[in-house]
This record gives sequence, C-alpha cells and structure tokens, in this order.
Amino acid sequence: MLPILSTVGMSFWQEKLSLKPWTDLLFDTPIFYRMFWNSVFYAFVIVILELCIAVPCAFGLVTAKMRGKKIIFMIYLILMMMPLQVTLLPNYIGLRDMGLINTRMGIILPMIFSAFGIIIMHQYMMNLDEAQIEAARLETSSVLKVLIYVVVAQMKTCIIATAVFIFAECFNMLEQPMLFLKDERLKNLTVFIMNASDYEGKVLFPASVIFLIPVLILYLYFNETLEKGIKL
Amino acid sequence: MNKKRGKMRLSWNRKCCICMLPAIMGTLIFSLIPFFRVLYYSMINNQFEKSFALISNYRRVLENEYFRIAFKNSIMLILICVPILVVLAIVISLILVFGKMKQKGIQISFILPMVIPTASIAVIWRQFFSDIENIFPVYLLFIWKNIGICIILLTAVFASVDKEIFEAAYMEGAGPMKIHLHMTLPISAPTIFFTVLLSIVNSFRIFKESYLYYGTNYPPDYGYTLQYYMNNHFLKLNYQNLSVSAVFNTLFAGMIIAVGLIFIRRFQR
Amino acid sequence: MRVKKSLLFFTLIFWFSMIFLTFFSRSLHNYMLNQVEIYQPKMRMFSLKGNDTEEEVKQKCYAIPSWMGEHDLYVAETREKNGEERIFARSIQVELGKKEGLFYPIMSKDYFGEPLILRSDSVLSDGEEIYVKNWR
Repeated sequence: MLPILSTVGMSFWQEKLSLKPWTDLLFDTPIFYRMFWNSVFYAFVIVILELCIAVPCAFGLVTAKMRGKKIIFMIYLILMMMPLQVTLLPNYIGLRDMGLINTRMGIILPMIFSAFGIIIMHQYMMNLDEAQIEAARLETSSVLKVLIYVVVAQMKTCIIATAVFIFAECFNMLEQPMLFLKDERLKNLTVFIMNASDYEGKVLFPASVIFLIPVLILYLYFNETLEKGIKL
Repeated sequence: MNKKRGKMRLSWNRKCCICMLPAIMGTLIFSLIPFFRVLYYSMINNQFEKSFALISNYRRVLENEYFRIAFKNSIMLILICVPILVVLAIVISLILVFGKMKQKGIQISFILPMVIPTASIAVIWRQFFSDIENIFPVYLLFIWKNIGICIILLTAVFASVDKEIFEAAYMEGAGPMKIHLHMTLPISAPTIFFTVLLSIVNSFRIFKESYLYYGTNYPPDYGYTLQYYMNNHFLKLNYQNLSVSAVFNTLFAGMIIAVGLIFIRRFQR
Repeated sequence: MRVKKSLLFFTLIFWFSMIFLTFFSRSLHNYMLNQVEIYQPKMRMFSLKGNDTEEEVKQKCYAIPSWMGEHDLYVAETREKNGEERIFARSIQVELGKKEGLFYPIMSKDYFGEPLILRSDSVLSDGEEIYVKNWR
C-alpha cells in the first residue's frame, strides 16, 4: 500500500529531476492557493458543524423514548448508503429553491446534514455508559451540559475518529463543487487537480502532493484512534 | 410556584427529542422534501406543460442505449469486484490474525487508503496504467481503496473467535484450511455479510475515482457506469431524465440495501 | 514520542509555509521575473518623403528614441494566464523611417502605440513573462 505514496514522491521530480513543476505551481499559479484554502475551509467548517449536529441527534436517537425512532434511524441508514449521485439531485433542487447555488453555503449545508456522521455516532453511543448519564441528570437538567460533560467526554476517541473521516471525505469531495458552483474562485483543490491540464506547467503532481499532506498529517497523528474508532 | 416551573420545563424525554430536531430538519429540507419533487419531475413531461408522462419518461430512459450500458457496467462492477474484494480481505485478515506476524502496524497501514484523497491517487494510477485499455485499473483502484475497512472489520471479528474450539478441532486432525472454512467463517458470517453489503454500497460510490482516473465526462464504453449517466444529465440539467434515473437508482440501491439489512438481521438471530 | 514531535514540527512548517506562500508567492514570482521599464511612445511631427514624389510631407508618427532604434523592439502586452491578466513581452518587427533629431519615426501600420520595453535586467526573449516596474 505504501509504494503508492513513494510514487507520489517520485513522480513530482519530473523533467529530468527539476524543481520546475514546483515553482510553476507555487509561484506561477496563484489560484491554487485560493482553492487550497477553500478546501481546508470547507473541510473544517463541515467537520465542526456536522459534529455539532450529529452528536445531539445520535444522542437523541439513543436516549429518547419516542415512536418512529426506528423509522428515522432506517431512513438515515438508507440515506447513508445511497450513492452520491442520487442524493445530489435532491440536494441541488433544495439549494436551487433557496437560491444557494454558487455560494459557499451551498457546499457546506447539505454536507452538514449527511447521514454518515449520525449513523456512526449512533453506533458508538449504543455502548454508552447509561449509569453516568443518569447520575449526571441528578445534578443538572440541561441536556446540553449532560452532552458536553458526559457524552462528549466519554466518547473522545470516537468523535475524533469520525471527525477525521468526515474531514477526509470533505477534503476529497468533487461532485458538489463541480455541480453546485460556477465561480472558479469558490471551488476546491479536487477540481484544480481535475482540471490541472488547463494550467501552465506540470502542476498536477506537486498539487496532488500538497493535497495529500493535510490528510496524511491527520492520519499519522490519529492512526491508532482511527483503528479503535472503526472497530467499535 | 413549583407547579408552574414544572410546566415551564420540558421533560427530559422531550429535550432528547429536540436534540434530534436540527438534523432532521436539515435532512428534510435538503434530502427528503426535494426527493418528492424528484419523484414529481419524473412523472411530468416538462416543466412548462406539466402533463402526466410517467410511462413515456421511464420508457425513454430505460430504452436508452447508454443507460443500458451504464446499468450493465454497474452490475458488472458489483459482480466481479465485490467477491474478489471480500475474498481477498478474508484471506488477508485470516493471515493477519492466525499467522505469526506482527499485525498491529500492518493493520493500521490499511486505514491509509481510506482517508487518502483519491484525487491524488487517481493521478498516479493514470500514470501507471496509461496504456491499459480496459476497466481493470478502475477495479484495482476500487479494491485498493476499500480493502482497508473490510480487513479491519474482519480482523476484529476473527480475533474475537474463541481459540479453544480450534484446538479441539486440531486434535481431531483437521487441517487449517478445513478449520477456517467450517468454523471461523460460519461464526463470523454476519460480519462477512456486512462487509459484502458495505462493498456493494461502496461500489456505487466508485464514480469519483473513475471520473478522476479517466478525467472526462465520456469515458470508454466499458467504464461508463450509472453514475456517469446521471452526472452527464446533471451537467445538461435535463430534469426529466435525471429524475427518472435518480428514482431508478434509488429503487435499485434501496432494494440491495433492504435485502442486505434483512439478511443481516436473520444472521444475528 | 519523538515521531510525534517531528510530525508536529513538520505540520507547523507545512502550514506556515502555505500561509507564507499564500501571501508572498505573488511578490516572489514578480521578483523572479525579468524586471523591465516601459516607455509609452508619443506622436510627433515628422517630415517624411512621399513614395513617388520628392515632396516632403508632414505627418504624425509614433516616435522612439534613436538609441532604441538600433536594438530589437519588444512591446509589453497583457494576456490571460492561469486565470489572470499577466504582462508578457512580444517581439515586434517595425519599419523605421529616417532619423530626425533624436527620434526615429515608426512607419509600420500594424503598430498602434503599445508600450515599448525601454530596458530590462536580462536579455528578453519572445513571449516571456515580465514584471513592469513603472506600469501606469
């Protein structure tokens, strides 16, 4: 599996081992930076907001006693497993009706409500320690406090693992910016790599190396957490 | 006084329900309600006349040559790739768990392909397989990307299998192949089934990788899947065709998911 | 532990260099380019010989300093590159008239008064991207 990585390293020294692709990319293609920061921005915002929404929702799904809970869960499960192309069309129509096409919000909002985070958090919360929640409820009646001090504190590992997965997925999204955005300056790095031949010089390989780095860093930091997160 | 306060406050249960509200609202606004509009679009002939044309719409799409090619290729992907992927994952995880290797590091390295942005990898792939003219590189890319999660799920189950029953079987003179075929696999059947389902679902999602690999909206015929079909109609904003194929896709995927989930339930009992 | 530390170090370097490059890549790029000064030729009255008659005709022409007339001429023109307007040098072949005082008249009909490159740091080549020090 790792040879792929080394080839990434190898292949950007092209044209007789020169730095030309790198200088072309770093100094000659200012739009690259815009798209890089766009990617980072989208990924960060989506991760934070999605966690803010998915954690309470999963908590509610686990603890609340309510009719139709199973149905909600099933809907989310099916939504999560749907191919992206299928969910994109409803998303597009929803965004179009609200006039959010070609804005940053148009990318962020549908991703926040993706089912992935909710389902994963729900699976983790199944083996949450209920006694602790009960104990905390005696002290406070605020759900928010219980959530922050008990639930989040207990599930740090899982939340980090989920966050990294969401980050990786958002960093890698291609279809949404391609279809929802028209303005080049709002698009992200995946689109840049897709259209790398439009730019001058061999910018493709250096761009994909830079594209790898943030996720790779996260992976190296959290690889054990990630493994635990999947196994649970 | 006390009574009033009690009324003002919501019960704990209510609050828990309120927790779910933002997520559900979002899903409703962005997925479910628009989905009904998709259904509606698939039934009318165009946005201006709005007359009922369900049957002709569906017939037009289903008789389309490209739609058929796309559908065939999607099925092929599931039929060829998923078994290879799952068998490979089972073999590797058996070796990892029961072989005498240091498994920790290897296991962790299998997560890497899951998180690595595929855009960069597809680029390398294109460089490697530039002169191969069949679907094989995309299949390989798919297996490469998805084998990690399968292995991690399977090793976790295999490692939890009780070792004592093996020893009993070993005493009776069964070979390792036989033991695993007749004991390990049946015990971990639900998880194996889950990995199969997961792989099928992921095979619907291979579009991005294949798109980046081919770098075009119109790949060669063997690489043209349902997702391409939808994407191309998306770019043309042909709502009718798009809606029909979305509904069709939903039914197709929904069927597989439903069957899979029911099977898993059965196994667990 | 040491691995984590070096990783942290690498992370910091990566993000800092990305931030640094985001802000300064433009100026670094400009710094690496050929630095040139441009000159906007002005119209002047020249007395020119007509083609068939010996009579001298007064005519308005673009004028360039005489020392420039002895070298290759380049014009600075804007063109789109990587989604932005950039300035490039383009070599032009012009027909010069008779020197009058310190100036040459430009006779070519396809020259419309684009800014000429007066001097550059290093030798120019056709189609090279340049940085203009005294633009506008």
